[in-house]
Amino acid sequence: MKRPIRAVAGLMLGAFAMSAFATGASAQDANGNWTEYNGDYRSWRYSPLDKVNKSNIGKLKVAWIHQPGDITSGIQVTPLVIDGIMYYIAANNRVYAVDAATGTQIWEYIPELDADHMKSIFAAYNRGVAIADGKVLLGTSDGRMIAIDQKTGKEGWQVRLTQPAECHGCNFTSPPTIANGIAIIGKTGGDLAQRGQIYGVNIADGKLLWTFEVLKDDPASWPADQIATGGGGAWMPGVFDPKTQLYYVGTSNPAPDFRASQRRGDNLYTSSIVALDPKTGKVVWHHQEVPNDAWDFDAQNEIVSIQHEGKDLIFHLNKGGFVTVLDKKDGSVVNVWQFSENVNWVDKIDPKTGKIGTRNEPTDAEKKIFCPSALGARSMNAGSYSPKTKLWYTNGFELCNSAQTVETQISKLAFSQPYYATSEFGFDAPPGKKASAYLKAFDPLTGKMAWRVDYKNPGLGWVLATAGGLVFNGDLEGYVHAYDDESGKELWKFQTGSGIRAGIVSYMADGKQYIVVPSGMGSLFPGFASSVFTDFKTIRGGAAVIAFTVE
Amino acid sequence: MMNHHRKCLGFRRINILNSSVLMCAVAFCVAAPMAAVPARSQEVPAATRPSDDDLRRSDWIAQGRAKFISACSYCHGSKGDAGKVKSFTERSNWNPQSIHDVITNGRTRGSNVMPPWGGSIADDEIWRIVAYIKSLSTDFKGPIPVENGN
Ligand code: HEC
Repeated sequence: MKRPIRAVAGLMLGAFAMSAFATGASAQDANGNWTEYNGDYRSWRYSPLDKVNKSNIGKLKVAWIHQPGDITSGIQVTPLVIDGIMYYIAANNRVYAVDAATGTQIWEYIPELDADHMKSIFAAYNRGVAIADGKVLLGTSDGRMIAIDQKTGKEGWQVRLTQPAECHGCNFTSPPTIANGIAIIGKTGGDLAQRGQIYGVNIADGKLLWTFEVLKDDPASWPADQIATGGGGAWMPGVFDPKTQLYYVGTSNPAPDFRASQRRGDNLYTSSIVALDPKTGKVVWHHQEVPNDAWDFDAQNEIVSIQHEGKDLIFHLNKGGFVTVLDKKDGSVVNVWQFSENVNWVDKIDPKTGKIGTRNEPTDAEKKIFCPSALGARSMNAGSYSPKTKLWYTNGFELCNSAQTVETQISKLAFSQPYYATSEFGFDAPPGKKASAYLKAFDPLTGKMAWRVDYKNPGLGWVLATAGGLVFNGDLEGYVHAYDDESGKELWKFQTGSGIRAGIVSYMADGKQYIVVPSGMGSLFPGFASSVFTDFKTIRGGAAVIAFTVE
Repeated sequence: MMNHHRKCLGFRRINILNSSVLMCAVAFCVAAPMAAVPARSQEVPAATRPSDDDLRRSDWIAQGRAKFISACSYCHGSKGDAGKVKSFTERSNWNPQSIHDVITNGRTRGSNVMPPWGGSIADDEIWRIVAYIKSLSTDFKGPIPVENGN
């Protein structure tokens, strides 16, 4: 499919062209493609397809399986599907094009990665590719962006964006976001002694057009001696809204993660939602969820857009366990509601202003316990919003961590060592309780819960809701479940052979609706969480893309 | 620092070329910890290997613990009881050389990734971490008190 991406003069014309063509056929427009990481710019991860539905879900069967053959760190991808072809990325940045109806491989691309990339703690895994202008674009584990030909899989241009050897391995683990011919990507490194950046790259030739410094060069925000190693970054994809012509992204936490006392100031633009002009990389507005963060609370999660009473709103879950609802035009706060059941890092957040109440910070003096943990209220695996039920379906878990801080010399940090500045650190159950996990359905504006399903272990897969009245979710044990979107009643499940840590999507190919589930546990989470959720110790890794349909 | 880094780059390349050989050697050590471990003298000169008594020095254990907490604990838990391997607190007869070598070279097995630390944690510091890890084993004979050691 030809997808013009050149900037069109005139805002109205531009907006029309964007929604009609350049962002591709959006996941919501019923032609059965899945063209962007989070579905489309609204991040609903919702499929308008209903051929698979509550009445025939019992007949959902495996149609084909494709395996990338490399299971290093499992599989984390959200595949894209355009006009009957699926594109997905697997371990060590291998990319595949597969016939979406049969699973027959069309091409594979295996990049030569700098041998050093395995020294990065963010090595090997990747969450997706972006497609524009006949190119499949990926950010690599060794800090480059590469364009490959959508038809042939042949390598086109490449551009080096980070210098991993000089930033403790800061690299790319997520797809770029496409905005009018520009591919925008942020690097990892909220936890590293480095300075976070977001890059705008010209899709036509791979030229770097602009760099956005996530750490604002302003003495009111940062002590001068801290900014060069202040972390930040933006390791999950943002979204480009063709209507507002802005790029929205959630940024990482500042470093050292737990010792906020040495970097007093708000530490802009960390732990924030920022709206950037994609042409220049300049900030149009921002909302900082956690000023001077002391708990590793990135703002990396999905930025979901909905309309309510004639207003364009955004809602967003921070790792700190609160959902913030913003007015999309200027980032002003509409509401804040508490998502996590156990929160003790702050006594409250003002729902009208988003202002943080009294803080409970890690200190050098004693080891204390903080909830939620540095793993967040939920991992980065997005929920799904259904316009049919007006509910947001998301995984979550109740976990805390203990921490005590210590002054840490940058020169003593090992290459692969995060800049945590901790003398004690560990994961714990919430005080007096058991650690727990769940899938919940919420009214995203008020936080009113419609239903919940308890899980033995945190669900680490990305959720899919469909017009067929189904909510698909994967679990650690390897099951993919389908629930009734109104009641949470389980209607179907299937054992995929390994845990699910990837994005479930749906598409049409050859007249049939497919549900595709990449299965294969890996990532850093299992190691981190295994002291409390001990099942993580013994899980098997894997990597398989499994497509289901109803015959 | 920069030179150090280059050297380490070289090591990695060699390791990757010989990865099947290395993996076998490591797997062998793990599967049969009691058996004689093939010497890997080309990478770790015998002279740098501390004695069993050195590995029980209380100051080494304390220094190794501090580094372990800051560089390793989020993947392994503060006592090596978390993570994707058998708990460090349930080990006995664990060959210090193989612990040292996994830390230095890293190890990728199935979906598991253990990053390599050689070249960015000094070798004597890696041995202090080994001392801490050994102190967690079930057959640890207790620390040998040393004050203000280096
Ligand atoms: C990013 C997560 C991560 C970090 C950080 C990490 N490790 Fe590991 N480590 C692993 C994984 C995963 C394995 C298992 C690899 C395998 O299956 O072969 C492992 C294996 C090991 C082993 C071998 C255990 C055995 O049973 O053979 C040792 C020893 C070890 N790590 C020590 C360390 C030390 C010391 C550090 C800090 C300097 C460290 N690790 C940092 C993830 C990590």
